[in-house]
Amino acid sequence: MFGIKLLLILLLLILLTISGTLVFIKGFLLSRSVIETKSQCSPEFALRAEDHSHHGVEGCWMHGRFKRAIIVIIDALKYEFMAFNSSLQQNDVTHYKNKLPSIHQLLKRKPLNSRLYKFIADPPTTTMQRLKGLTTGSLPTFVDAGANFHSYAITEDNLIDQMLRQDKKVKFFGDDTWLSLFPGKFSKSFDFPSFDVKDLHTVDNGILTHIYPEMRQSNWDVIIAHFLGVDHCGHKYGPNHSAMAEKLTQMDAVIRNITEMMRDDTVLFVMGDHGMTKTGDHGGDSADELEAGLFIYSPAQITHTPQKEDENVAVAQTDFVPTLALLMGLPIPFSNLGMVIPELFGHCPWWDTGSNEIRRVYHRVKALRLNAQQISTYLATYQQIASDLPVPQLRSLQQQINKAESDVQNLITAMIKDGATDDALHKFIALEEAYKSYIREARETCEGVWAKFDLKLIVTGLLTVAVGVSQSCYFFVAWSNSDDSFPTLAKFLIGGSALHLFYLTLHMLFFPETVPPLMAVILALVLIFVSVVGIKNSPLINNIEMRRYLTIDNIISSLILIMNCCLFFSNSFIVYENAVTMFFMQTLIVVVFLKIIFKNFSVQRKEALKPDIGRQMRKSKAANYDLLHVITQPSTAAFIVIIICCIVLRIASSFYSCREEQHSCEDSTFILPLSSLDERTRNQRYLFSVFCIAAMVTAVRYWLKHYGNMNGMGAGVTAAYYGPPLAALFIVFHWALQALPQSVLDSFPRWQQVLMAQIVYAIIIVCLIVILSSPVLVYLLPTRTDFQIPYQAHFKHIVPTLYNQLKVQLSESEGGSSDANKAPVVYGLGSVYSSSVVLLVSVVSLLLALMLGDGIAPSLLLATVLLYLFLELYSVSVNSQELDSVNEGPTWSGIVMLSLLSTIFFFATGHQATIPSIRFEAAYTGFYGDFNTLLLPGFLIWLNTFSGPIIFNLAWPLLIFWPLLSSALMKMMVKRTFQQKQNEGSWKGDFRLYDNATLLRKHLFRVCCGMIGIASVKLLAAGCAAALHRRHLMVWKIFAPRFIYEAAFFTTSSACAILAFLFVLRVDSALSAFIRKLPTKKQS
Amino acid sequence: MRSSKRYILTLSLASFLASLLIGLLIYLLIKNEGPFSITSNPVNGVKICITAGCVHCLLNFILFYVYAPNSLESGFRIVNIAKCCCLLVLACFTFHVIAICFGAPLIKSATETLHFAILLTVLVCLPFCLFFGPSIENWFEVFIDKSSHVGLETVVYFTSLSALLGSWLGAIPIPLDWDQPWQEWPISCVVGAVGGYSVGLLLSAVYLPRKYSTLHKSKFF
Repeated sequence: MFGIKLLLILLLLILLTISGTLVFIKGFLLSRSVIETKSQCSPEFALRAEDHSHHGVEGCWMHGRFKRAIIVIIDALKYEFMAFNSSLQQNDVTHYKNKLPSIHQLLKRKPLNSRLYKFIADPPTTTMQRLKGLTTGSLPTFVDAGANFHSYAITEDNLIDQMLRQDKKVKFFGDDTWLSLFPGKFSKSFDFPSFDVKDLHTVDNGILTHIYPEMRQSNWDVIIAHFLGVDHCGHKYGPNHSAMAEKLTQMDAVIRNITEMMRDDTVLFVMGDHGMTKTGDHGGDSADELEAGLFIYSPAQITHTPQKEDENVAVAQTDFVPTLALLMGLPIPFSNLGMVIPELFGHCPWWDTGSNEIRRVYHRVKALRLNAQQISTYLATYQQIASDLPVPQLRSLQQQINKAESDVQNLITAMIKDGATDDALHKFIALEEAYKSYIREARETCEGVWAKFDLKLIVTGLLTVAVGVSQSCYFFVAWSNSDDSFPTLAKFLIGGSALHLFYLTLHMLFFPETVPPLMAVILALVLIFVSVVGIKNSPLINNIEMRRYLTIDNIISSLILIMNCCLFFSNSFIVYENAVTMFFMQTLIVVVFLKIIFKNFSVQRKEALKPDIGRQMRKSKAANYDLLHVITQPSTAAFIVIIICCIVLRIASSFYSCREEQHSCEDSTFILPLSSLDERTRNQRYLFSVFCIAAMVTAVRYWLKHYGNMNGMGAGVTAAYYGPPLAALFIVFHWALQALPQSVLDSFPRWQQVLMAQIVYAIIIVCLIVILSSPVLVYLLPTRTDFQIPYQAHFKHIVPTLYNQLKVQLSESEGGSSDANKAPVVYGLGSVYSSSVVLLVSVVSLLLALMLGDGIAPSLLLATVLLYLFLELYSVSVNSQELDSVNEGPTWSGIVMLSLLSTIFFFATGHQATIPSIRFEAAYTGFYGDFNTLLLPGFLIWLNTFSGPIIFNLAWPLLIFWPLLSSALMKMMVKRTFQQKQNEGSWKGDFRLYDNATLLRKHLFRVCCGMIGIASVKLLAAGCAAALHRRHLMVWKIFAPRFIYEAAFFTTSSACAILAFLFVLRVDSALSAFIRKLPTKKQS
Repeated sequence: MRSSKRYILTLSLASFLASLLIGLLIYLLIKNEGPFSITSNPVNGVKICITAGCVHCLLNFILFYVYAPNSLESGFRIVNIAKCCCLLVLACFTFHVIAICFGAPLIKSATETLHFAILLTVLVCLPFCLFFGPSIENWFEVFIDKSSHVGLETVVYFTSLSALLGSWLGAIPIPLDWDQPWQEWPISCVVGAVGGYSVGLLLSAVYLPRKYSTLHKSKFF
C-alpha cells in the first residue's frame, strides 16, 4: 500500500507539470479568430466602381475574364523545377532541372498567354496549411501546423465556397486532404489517400485515368487536380534521384496534354503548394521550402507585355486567391489578405486596352481597388470581433484607403470632364502604387499581430510547472531515510497542489477568457514558497549529512543541469544542442572518473595508516615501476573504462541528423533508407545492422546467463530465452524485405509486405505479457540428492553451479542430511530485480529497433553498451566504504547523467527538435495504407521519435540495483579494503533490498522524483525561453518547436518512469509470492 | 621542509610577472594581424603559446633549482626522464582523444587538435613532471591531498586546474552565431587554456604569501 501511495504522489507531480504545460500552450500558441462571414456578390463598393458592367462574361465585383479554370497543384513543385535553364546540357546529372520543357516552350511560343512566377508560400510549409492559404487567402498560425493528420473542414470564406455560390461546378482529382477540407463541396471527385509517402504512383495514376475523359465533358467550370508523386518522391529519395526525373517528365506530359485540350475561355494555373529542401522534406521556412512555382496559361491572351527572359517575379501564395476570384468574376473571399497580380488585369479583350495605356492602368487600378476594399472591410469586421489589431496602425491604414478612394473619384470626375491627359496617366500610376502599398501594409500588420500571446495564461502555466518542479525537489530531498511516515508539510503540499489543480481546471473550463486566474497564481506562489521553505528545513540540508551529498560529482552535475537549462534561452545553443549535450555528458563522465580516483586514493591512504599493511605497501613501492603493476591498478582500469565510455558516446554522434540551421553539417548516411543506396554500400550496411542487433541480443543473454537468470523452464525465463532472438530474426527479415526496390516490393501482396514486422509485434507483445505475469527470473533447484546440471547452462557456468551443489551436499552430509533443514538452492536470486528490468529494457529496445529501421538501429547497440558502462562507473562511484550502500541509495549525479544520456540518444537516433524532422514513415512499419484512427500511427511515430529517451527512462531502477551487484568489472576499478574483500563471501546482490520493502520503495520514489524533477525543470526553462523570446525572429522556428519537444519529452520520460516504477513493484510482489512458496528454511 | 621567505616572495613575484606577460601575449596574438595572428593562422599561434609555456616552466625550474635544490625528489635519473617523456606523450595522446570525444572534428582539423593537445600537455602536465617526477604519490599529494607545503606545488596546482577549466570554458562560445573568426575550433579553447594558465599564476601569486603567513604565523613586510 505504501507503494501505491507513493505512486499517487508521483502522478500528482506529473499532473501538475502537464496541466501547467497545457495552460501555457493555450496562452502561447494562439490562433487567429475565424470570421465566417462570406463575401456578397454585389457589395456597395463594387457597384460604385462598375462602369463597364456590360462587357465580357458576367461577373460579381468585376466582369469575369474566363468562364472556366483548371488548377493543377503538383505537391512540392519547386520554382527550380519549373524554371528552364537553357545553359544546361541535355543529359545533365541533376535529375530535377529542365524536366518540364513544355512550360518553357509555352513561354517562348506564346509570351502573351503565359506567365511564370516564383510562388512564395507562408510557413509552415505543410500541405494542409498551404491548401488553406491557397483557398482562403489568409495567414496560417502555428497551432494548425500540428493538425496535418487531422484535417478539419474550412469554415472561413474561401474560393470553393464562392464558386459554389456562383453556381460553378467543381470537379476534383487527387489528394484526399481536399475532401476533408471541403466535404461535400465538389460536384464530382476522384480522391486518393495521401498519407502513405512511400507510394509514388497511386494518386497520380488515379488522377490520370480520370482527368482527360472528365475534361472532355462539358459539365464543369473548375477542375482541381492535386498530384502527390513529386512530393512523395522527394520524401522517399530526395530531389536528385532518377525517380524524380521520371515523375517530373510525367508531370510535363500532363501539362502538355491539358494545354492542348484547353479552350479559349479557360485559364490554367499550375502550381506547387510548397518547395522542398535538399533532402526532399518540407515543413519549415527556409527559402528552399518556401519557393514554389506558379505557371499561368490560357489559349486567349491574358497579359499585354511578354515576360522578360530571366525575369523572375515573386508573388505570395495568397495572391492566387484574389487573382483567380477576379479573373473568374467571383467575389474575393472575405478574409483574404492577398493582392491581385496586377499584370493579369492590364489586358481586357473587350475594351481595346492594347492601344491605350491609360485604359490598361485603369483596369489594373480597378482590380486593386476592389481588392483593397475587401481587405478594408475584413479588417473592420475583424476588429469588431477580436479587437487585437493595433488601433493606430488600423487608423493610418484607413486614412490611406480613404485618400486613395477620394483620389479615384476625383480623377474619374476630372477625366469625364477633360478627357484623358498625360497627367491622368501619372495619377493612375500613383494610385496603383497607393493601393499596392495599402494591401502590403495591411498584410504586414496582420502578420505582426497574429502571433498573439495571452500573458495571463502563459504566467499561470509557467507557475504551475514551477510548482511541479519545486515539489519534486521537495520530495527528493525532504525525506530523511530513517523516516517512515509523511511529514506534515508533505501532506499540506499534496493537498495544496490538488486544490491548485482543481481550481485550474475549474477556471479553464467555466470562466471566460478575460478573467485573470488570480487565485491560481496566488496558490502557486504560496505552494512554491512553502516547498522552498520545506527544502531549506529538510533534515538532509540541515544535518551533517549534507556534507556527504556535496561531493564533486553532485555539485558539477547540478551546475551542468543549470547550464543545460540556460541553453534553451539562446537560439544558437538550441541549434547545436546535440553537440552541447555531448560536451556536457563527456564532462560528467570525466568528473565521475575524478571521483573514482579520489575514492581509491582515500582508501589507499587509510590502508597506509594501518601499520602492518602500511609496511607491505612501502615494500611494494619498489615494484611501483613495474608496468604490470601500473596496469592492474584500479585507477588505470577505471581510466580505460572511462576512455572507452567517452569514445562510445562520441561514436553515437555519427547518427546525428542535421537541422537546416547547422551550416557545414552533413546528414548521417545511416538516415537514408536502405533501398536508396547503391548495391555495395547497401549490403555492407545491412550486414552491419544485422551484426549490431545480434550483438545487442547476445550481450543481454550473456549477462542474464552470467547472473544465473537463464535457468529452468519458468515462463519468464522461456520468454527471455526465446523471445529476443526470435524477434531479432524477424526484424532482420523485415529489413531485408524493405531493402528491395519498390517495384519488386509492390509485386508482393500487401499482407506479405508487412508480415515480418507484424510477427515481431506479436512476439514482443507476447514477451511483454509473459514478463509481466511472471517477472521473476529465478530457478529453484529441485531438492534431489544427485548432481543437477541446469538446463541451458553455459559451459562456463557449469563449474560454479556444480561447486555450489557440492557444497550443499557436503554440508548436508555433515549435518546428518535430511530434506527438512536443507537450504533451498535458487539460481539468479542475487540479481532478481536487475535481471527483470534488464529483460524489460532489452525487449522494448527490440521494438524500438524495428521502429527505427535498419539504418539507425545500430545506435541502440551503442545505447546498450553505454548504459552498461555508465552503470558500472556509477556503481564504482557510489560504492562507499563506510556506509552500507543499501542505505545510501542512488545519487543525484547518476539521475542527472541518465537524463542527459536520454537527451543525447534522442539526437543520436537521427532526430532533431524541429517539426520536419519527425519521421512519419515510421507509422508504416508493419502496417499498410490508411488508418482508421490516428492513435496507432501516432504511437508508432512517438516510439520512433523518442526511442532513446524511452530506453534510458525505463532503465532508471538499475541505478538502485546495479551497485549492489558488484560485478567483476566494478571490482577491477575499485580499490577495496581488506575488510571488504573478506566480506565478499556473503554476496547477496540486489536481493538485499527485498528484506527492506519500505527502503526499496523509498529509493524508487526518490529516483523517480528526481527524474520527474529534472524533466520538468528543463520543461520550465524551455517554456520560459519561449515566453521570453515570443517576439524573437526565430520563435516559431527554434524556440516554440523546442518547447513542444521538451513537453513531449517530459511526457515520455515521466510515463516511462512511472511504468518502470510499477514494474519494479510488480517484480517485488511476484518475488514475495515466490519466497512464500519456498520450502521453509530452517536456520541451522 | 620549511621554505624560505625569500623563496616564496620571489616565486610570488615571478608568477605575477609571468601572468602579466602571458596575458600580454594573448592580447597580442588576438589583436595583431600579421602572420602570428591566432585567428588567421591558429597553428602558429598555438606554437607560440607552447613555446611560452615551456619557457615559463624552464624559468620556474631554474628558480626552483636556485632556492630549493634539495626538494627535487628524484633527481636527474635517466629512467625518470624517459618515464616522464612517455607520460607526456601519453598525456598528449589522451588530450587529443578527449578533445575529439568532447566534440572536436575527427579528421578535418586534426593538426589543430594535436597542437591543442600539446599545448594542454605543456600547461598541465609538463610543470608537474619537471618538478615532481613521474610519481603517482606526488601527484596525489599535489592535487588531492593539497599538502601543507607552499611553494611550487601551489603554483602547479593553480595553473594546471585553471588551464583545464579555461579550455573547458573556451568551448562555450563556439556554437554562438556571432560570426567571429576566433570562434573557430580550437582558437577559443587555446585562448581559454592560456588565459586560464595566466589567471592561475595570478591566483597563486596572491595566494602564496597569504598561505605562507598563515602557516608560519609570520608577516611579510
